[in-house]
Amino acid sequence: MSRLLPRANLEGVVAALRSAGYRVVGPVRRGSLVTYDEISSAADLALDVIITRDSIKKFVLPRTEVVARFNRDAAGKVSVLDATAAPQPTVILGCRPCDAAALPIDDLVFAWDSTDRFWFSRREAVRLVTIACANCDESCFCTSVGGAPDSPEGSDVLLTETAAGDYEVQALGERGAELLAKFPGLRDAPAADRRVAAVPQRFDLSAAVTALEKNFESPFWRQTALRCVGCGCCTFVCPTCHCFDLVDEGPAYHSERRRNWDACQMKNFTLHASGHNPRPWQEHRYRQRIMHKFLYYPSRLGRTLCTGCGRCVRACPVNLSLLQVVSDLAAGRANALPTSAGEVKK
Amino acid sequence: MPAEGRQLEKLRHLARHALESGAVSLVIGFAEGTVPGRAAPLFCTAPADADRLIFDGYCTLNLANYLTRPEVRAHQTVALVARHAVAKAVVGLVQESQVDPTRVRLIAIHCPDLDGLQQDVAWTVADGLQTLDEFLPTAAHLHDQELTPERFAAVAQVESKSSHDRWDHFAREFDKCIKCYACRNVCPLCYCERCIADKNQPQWIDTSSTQRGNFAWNIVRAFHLAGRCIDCGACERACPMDLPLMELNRKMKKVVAERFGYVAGYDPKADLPLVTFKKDDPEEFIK
Ligand code: SF4
Ligand code: SF4
Ligand code: SF4
Ligand code: SF4
Repeated sequence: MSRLLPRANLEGVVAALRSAGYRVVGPVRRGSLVTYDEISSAADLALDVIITRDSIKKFVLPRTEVVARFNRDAAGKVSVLDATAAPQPTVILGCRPCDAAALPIDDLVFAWDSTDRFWFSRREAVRLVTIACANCDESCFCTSVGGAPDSPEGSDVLLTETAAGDYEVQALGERGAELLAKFPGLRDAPAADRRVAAVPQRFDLSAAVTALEKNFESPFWRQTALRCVGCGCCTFVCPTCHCFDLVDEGPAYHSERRRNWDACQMKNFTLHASGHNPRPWQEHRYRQRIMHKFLYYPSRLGRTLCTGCGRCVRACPVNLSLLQVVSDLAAGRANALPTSAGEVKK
Repeated sequence: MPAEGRQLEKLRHLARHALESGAVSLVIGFAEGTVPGRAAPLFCTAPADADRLIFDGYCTLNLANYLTRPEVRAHQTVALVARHAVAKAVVGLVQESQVDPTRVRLIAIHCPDLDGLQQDVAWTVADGLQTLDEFLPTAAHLHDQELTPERFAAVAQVESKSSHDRWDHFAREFDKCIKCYACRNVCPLCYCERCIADKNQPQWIDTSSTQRGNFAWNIVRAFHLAGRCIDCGACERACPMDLPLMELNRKMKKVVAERFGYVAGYDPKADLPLVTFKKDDPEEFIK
């Protein structure tokens, strides 16, 4: 036996969660774009898309967030005001497993040497109701990085579509059980066929990691990254990329310290005040993204910093596919290159 | 062999020959992408690399963007596989003294219309490697297509709104912007070593992706490209959040055409309308 949510009851779930005080968000279509946004009815949900353009990251790490406020009064006295807002309790309905899995991975860095209260206060306020993927495309690769299209990791409630189009329901942990108790119209039903995408394994992760260990200095990076334009597309759509910048902005006497998304692919990212840049070429910046995700983060914090959602692959304006690059590494293509390729001097 | 196959053979032959003969040391074109409907820029330095070149209506990136990259500048002479929009960007770069025309060659692709972006576009490749001067007369006729009303349909729609609705429209669209700067980084004419958006001493525009910061960014970008944008659409196609950036760029194009009688991308010797000072300028404020 399993617990079943008839599809027609999705509407009741949205209403119940909203009246319980939650902001409910899910995949919403606006023209050609599907992003996670607030919904007021299940009819707003675009559940037919493989994956939204942006990730759920923005609900825990907004693209811009005030972390402190400064005031300077007429007498010239400066006071620093606390800016922590109480985050709005939010349910993400129709989250994808590769989005949900990103949050526990990023928790590790936000709790590493100090606890990031901005991240964790939002994290506390968010509940994930994930729908297992019934379809995938050629850019999906969760199964190559330890995930699965029906993985419960990071979710509070997992819904898996049945052949009849209803949802089999699974609560995870106490938070999940508490949330599921608010779902109306659940019933017991015999286990039915589940619709779960068959995501092929596209590369051997450990072979890719070994290749990275050996190829910090390799012409592979120049050959690969010559076309990279150094934008923030791949990192900003990524659910696991978490780098930020701190800036002071606003009127001089009442300004704000804001934390904004930043991208290791942009050339200013490591630019020192002296003018020196330790990652002077795009190949260094591109290498950093791959190394950080597949070698540095796992060796320091024990988890691969990629859930295989494929967003960066789809979004890259120059079709520089991380999936292709990591597959090439795993297949030993970097090892085969001579290391003597000439440096280009500016 | 079907016509298209013959053109592809010719394209590859031109590229291979350009590298073999030493006429250029780098050919930038397109290879098959990793997924259907996408093409990937390809940098050919060995003659054999030319065998991977392709061309179709998905080759939409503006390759002239790479000419200002230091890795590419390190080459003495570079050839670009250039549909019309790429060549127009080269014109702009030469006009603004960013690229030395003697160091660029074109493998010109001719399409029946200005953009050549339909999926099954019929294209032909020019007979030989060309300099910009050799190329220009072969594309001059496309100037007539630059200002057709169809090109400005989206602009007209925005213009027809009340100023209040226009504000709402752009507020909604700019709200989607995540400040990834892909629009800037794929734009061949956005070559500034340090973009105004990245300057913080002094800081001109908010870097934060707030309403104010997003308005500032998108408007500053459109203004800075007024009279310089060659209407290739690469920025809009790169935008991960589907902002209708060409509404802004084409509006600027229209105003510049009306006020200055100028369309960018055809004459590398022309004065740029917005950066040229004329003593007989009718505007009082300029004196
Ligand atoms: S690196 Fe790419 S595939 Fe991996 S989680 Fe980030 S966006 Fe998804
Ligand atoms: S890999 Fe693609 S999306 Fe990422 S910085 Fe480079 S060009 Fe931009
Ligand atoms: S590409 Fe789009 S989302 Fe990115 S900065 Fe430009 S307008 Fe904003
Ligand atoms: S602004 Fe956009 S359309 Fe204009 S030249 Fe740049 S990329 Fe092309």
